[in-house]
Amino acid sequence: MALFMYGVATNTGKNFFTHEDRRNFFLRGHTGHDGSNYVDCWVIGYNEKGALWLAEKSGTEKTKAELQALVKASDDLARTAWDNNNVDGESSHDKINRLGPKPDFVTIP
Amino acid sequence: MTDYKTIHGKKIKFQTSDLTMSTATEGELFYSDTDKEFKVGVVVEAWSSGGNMNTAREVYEGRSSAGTQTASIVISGYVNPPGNVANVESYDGSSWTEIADVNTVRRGAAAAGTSTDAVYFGGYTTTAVGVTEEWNGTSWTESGDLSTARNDLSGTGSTSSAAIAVAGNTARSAIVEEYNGTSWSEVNDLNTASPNTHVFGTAEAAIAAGGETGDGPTATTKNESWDGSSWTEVGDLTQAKQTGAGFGTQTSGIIASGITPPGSTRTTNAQGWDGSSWSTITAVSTARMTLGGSGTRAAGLVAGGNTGSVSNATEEFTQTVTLKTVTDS
Repeated sequence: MALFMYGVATNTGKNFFTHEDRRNFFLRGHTGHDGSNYVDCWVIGYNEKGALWLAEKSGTEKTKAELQALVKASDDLARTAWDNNNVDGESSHDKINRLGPKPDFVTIP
Repeated sequence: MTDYKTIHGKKIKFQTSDLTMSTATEGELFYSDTDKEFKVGVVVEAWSSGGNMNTAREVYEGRSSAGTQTASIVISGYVNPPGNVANVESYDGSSWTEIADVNTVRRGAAAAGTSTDAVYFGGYTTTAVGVTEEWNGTSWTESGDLSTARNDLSGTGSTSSAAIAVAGNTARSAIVEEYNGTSWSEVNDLNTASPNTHVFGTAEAAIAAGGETGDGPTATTKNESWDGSSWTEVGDLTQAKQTGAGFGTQTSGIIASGITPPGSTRTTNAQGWDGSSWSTITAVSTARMTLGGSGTRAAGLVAGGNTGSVSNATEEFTQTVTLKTVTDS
């Protein structure tokens, strides 16, 4: 039996998820990119309350592969932005000091 | 058979109605005559979503360290691209409102104080700076610079006239400076140089947990306690991390999210500090780095940061004590 379901739903802020939601089902958010815009991606505990939450938030269910592709697209953009952000003569240490470490890829569960 | 009184030295309370629960009554066991059941107060901790910030950005330590879950500010920060953000926002427990911009736009700076009485210091413009600005609830005024200009530093303190600036880059630093409302003076260093450490508490009693130990995705589990004059190593983190959010007091705090080596993987891990040791607690929902945090162990918040792109999301941490019925299985 699947442990998780996957979906996209825009985080609208206050009460988008509540304490009760977090106690009722697993929830982990990631940023994704659909080719045009950033989207809020969610890994949700696979139970009735998790499924109802995604439906109530007007979310769209995705497969794990689809959600991973969205998250990877966002990670690719972040890594490319980091690679392209350079200052002439800057050392590796100075670049990390200026920008922080190069973003890593996220693997969703 | 051993009974409850033999173990605990007192009898179980007999109550005609339920006890009123608070964090002080955690673990209190009683018999409810109304429900004919044994009940106990159990701490329940959880994160929930708060209002979204108006401007998504990496916050770093630019937050009101002595702010609360319902009165907090995040200050300046970074979006890659286009760059540093001047924007300052205030949170009232449900929504963020833009307030006066800082004078010197920068990122990787630190802050201390409350939402109406804060000091913002250090950071990176096109180089590390020591610029210090004070917030009085209405406007920003420049004050004395840090002795050592640096970014990726951390800070805490209860007001704009009592703060500490801890560690930082450009050369990886263990330097600590204390602010008296006018000028900074150097005090005893951290034992371990750790920029992007998580600092919370006051200028006289603070914790500095984790942080960066080398270029890139490195982090330490080291944890140091400040007594107003020197740093002492105390219980290590359960997981090394840097660039997360920290809030609370020297004896009761939380650090949340950040990055955990190997790699610069953003984590949802959160850890709670009880004054002697760290334990893993319920995780934040969205993994991110360079986020801001304020509040207490019982009611705090984290906001902004980098999730792969800049984030405007807020999560509120709340600790409550609820009644559970004791059963025999």
